[in-house]
Amino acid sequence: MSEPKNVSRRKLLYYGVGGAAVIIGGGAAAYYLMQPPSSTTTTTSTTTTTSYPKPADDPLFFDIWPYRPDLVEANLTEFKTQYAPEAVTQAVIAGDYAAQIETKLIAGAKDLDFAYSGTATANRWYEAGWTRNIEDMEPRKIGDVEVLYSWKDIKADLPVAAWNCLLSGSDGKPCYLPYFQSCFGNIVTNEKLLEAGGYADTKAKTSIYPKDYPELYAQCEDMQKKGVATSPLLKRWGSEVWEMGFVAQIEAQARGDPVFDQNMDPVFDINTPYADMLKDWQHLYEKEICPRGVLNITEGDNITWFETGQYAYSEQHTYDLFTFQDPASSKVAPYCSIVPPLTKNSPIGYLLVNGAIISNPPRSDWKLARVHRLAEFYTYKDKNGNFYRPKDFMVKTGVGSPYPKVLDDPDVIAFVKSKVYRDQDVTSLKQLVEACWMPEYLKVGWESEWTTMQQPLLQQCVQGSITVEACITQMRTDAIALKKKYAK
Amino acid sequence: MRGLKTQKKSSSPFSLTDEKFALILIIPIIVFELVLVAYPLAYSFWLSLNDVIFIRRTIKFIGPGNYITTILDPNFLRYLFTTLRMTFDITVLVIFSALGIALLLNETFKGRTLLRMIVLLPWAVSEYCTGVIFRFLYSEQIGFFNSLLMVSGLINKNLLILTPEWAPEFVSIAYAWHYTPLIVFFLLAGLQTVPEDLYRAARVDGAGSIKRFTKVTYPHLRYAIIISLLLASMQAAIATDSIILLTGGGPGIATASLTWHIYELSFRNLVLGMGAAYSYILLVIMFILGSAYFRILFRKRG
Repeated sequence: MSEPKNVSRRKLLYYGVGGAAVIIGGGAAAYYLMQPPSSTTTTTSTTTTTSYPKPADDPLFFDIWPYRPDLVEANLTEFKTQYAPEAVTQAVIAGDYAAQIETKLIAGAKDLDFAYSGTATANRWYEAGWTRNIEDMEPRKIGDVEVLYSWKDIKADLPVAAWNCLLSGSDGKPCYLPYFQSCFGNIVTNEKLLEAGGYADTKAKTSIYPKDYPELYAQCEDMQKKGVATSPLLKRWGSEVWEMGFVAQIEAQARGDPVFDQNMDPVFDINTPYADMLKDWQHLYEKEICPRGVLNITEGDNITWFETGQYAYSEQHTYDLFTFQDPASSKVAPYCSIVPPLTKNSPIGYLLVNGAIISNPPRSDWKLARVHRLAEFYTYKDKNGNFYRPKDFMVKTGVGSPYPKVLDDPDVIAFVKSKVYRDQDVTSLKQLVEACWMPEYLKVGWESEWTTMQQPLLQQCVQGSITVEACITQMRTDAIALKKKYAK
Repeated sequence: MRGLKTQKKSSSPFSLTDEKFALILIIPIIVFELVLVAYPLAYSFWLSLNDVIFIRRTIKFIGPGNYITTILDPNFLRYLFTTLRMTFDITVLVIFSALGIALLLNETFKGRTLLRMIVLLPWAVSEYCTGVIFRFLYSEQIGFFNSLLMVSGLINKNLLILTPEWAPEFVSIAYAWHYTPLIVFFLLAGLQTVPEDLYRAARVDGAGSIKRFTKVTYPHLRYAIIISLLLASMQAAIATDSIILLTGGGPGIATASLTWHIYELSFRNLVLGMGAAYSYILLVIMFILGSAYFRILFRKRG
């Protein structure tokens, strides 16, 4: 047996210091090599020429949430083909998307150029200076990169309501671009259960839809009594932090309670329709007209639950109608319809124009032009003047576009008609989008905190752990304190 | 002989005493700790004394204001109680199930190696995935447990598992499932050190299995158990992913622990001052808990 080899202390220290030097030196070299080459300008006595790096050496970074990454990939391939040579690195962000993007934005991460956002997050990030407004998105050519469209073109092609969603609450400038549009919180139906409850005839395709929320709840209670369903109504009361606050705002406003005035001061109180709404919610929970387990579920679960066919009505996104009409995954298909806006108090939801933001780290004009080119392709038109990406998403997933020209496209109309329960639903969808509005509080800097505070309070109120009065009093106190805290 | 040789005093400038040599070796660790622990701790303490509005980039010194607001928060005691309740649940579940599994795996039987590998699997699954798995198991509408009970005819209406009353326990079960394998292997390592002779002697003396455990196994295992208790309870107190994925702190605030609330404040809302104050309160609780364990450990050793 060989004797174990001893290493002297001196050697150990030498090795240690040597090893550390190699690691540090290697890291520094790797960092240096990974830096993208910058554009260089050469001036001679007669001409000035600027050379730009290859796009592949300085790719654009696009972080998406995990919705149809395959489709995004295909769209980006088309983008790269149309604008070759171009390079985009796409990353799917799992988990809390907004929190992770926000962390990157705070850090001024260079590996983020373009990302999705909701109205509230877009406003918050813009107000903080982490994202750019799009007012410098104008046709221009830098090197071989050509930006084709102006933000004014986008404005001209959008309805006023959709355009207003994009405007920042802090300075009124467009702070993000439109990725998709939906009415969130409108009511989808299971016509089979409605028929069993005496509210629909699936042969004649006629239905007696509720004109407002109290009527909706009365129908559901009636269907429960008739044994049509154990819990006929699937509310959006889930664990997603934004859901309850959003549906509360939608319903309160449909009941005639604006919740906030124009100065963002709370106007809801224990004597306003907001309180009636909460009392109704407590009743729905107590009688299990809405299943109690809904308080724990995510947005995705909510869709899966409705697909089981056990619920007569549910608050959903307009685009989820197409998911529910897919017989491969949904037991409701082909009997899922949508409640049209019958009166000004109808449950229609609010206008959701989710979008895409452009991050704001230091970057060259050449790179910014490339980001603008990606932005216009992804949120507006392609090189050939077509609404390529918005239409592609619409006809493959049903995810709505805010552009009327896309919605009026024959392919899109054919897709919608092929999916809906009855032809009249095409009109209903259009009416919903036209009737929808977006609550202005989504644009204030304290929206995120307000939403987070509301959710547990509303859930506790629904469960009866706290009274309606206590809930409203606390929510008012929170809103007033937040407004004061964020006052400029 | 070589060992003696190294202790000889040398006139070389590189000759070092044992203490100096040890100090040089731990310098990188000290630097590492200063950068990754001491600095963030000091910075977050400073944040906890300020009112930070991140999106406005404003920071205002308010002294202990955040701590006072935290303590006066009507939900503070609920968050604290939920944290302690879930820490207790997880620790008890982890220690008892790990002990049982370790004792089983310490026996000699066919397929033991395979079983040891299978037992390790939940630890290989991330806490995030654990949350996702249990969300499907617990679901009232599409959950595995409900389907099983329904198919077997034991229920005719889906059961709500994550109720406000019992949600903390079911979240704890999910986390314990994920964490137990690690403790199993700590305890199993401890069990390997128990001399087989002692068991044989105990059997000869007529000791039953319980007596063998209390008189032979436990004395050899108690330090491993105390260390495992320390690890399990520390991890349990800061478990967040399972809560985020299973309940989102709900229903209501039934599973809103201190770490959940810190996550909400610091990451969702960027209320960094208040988040830091909550974090320091949690740190104090963890420190007290850790000190208690170490006190027990060293007292026993002494």
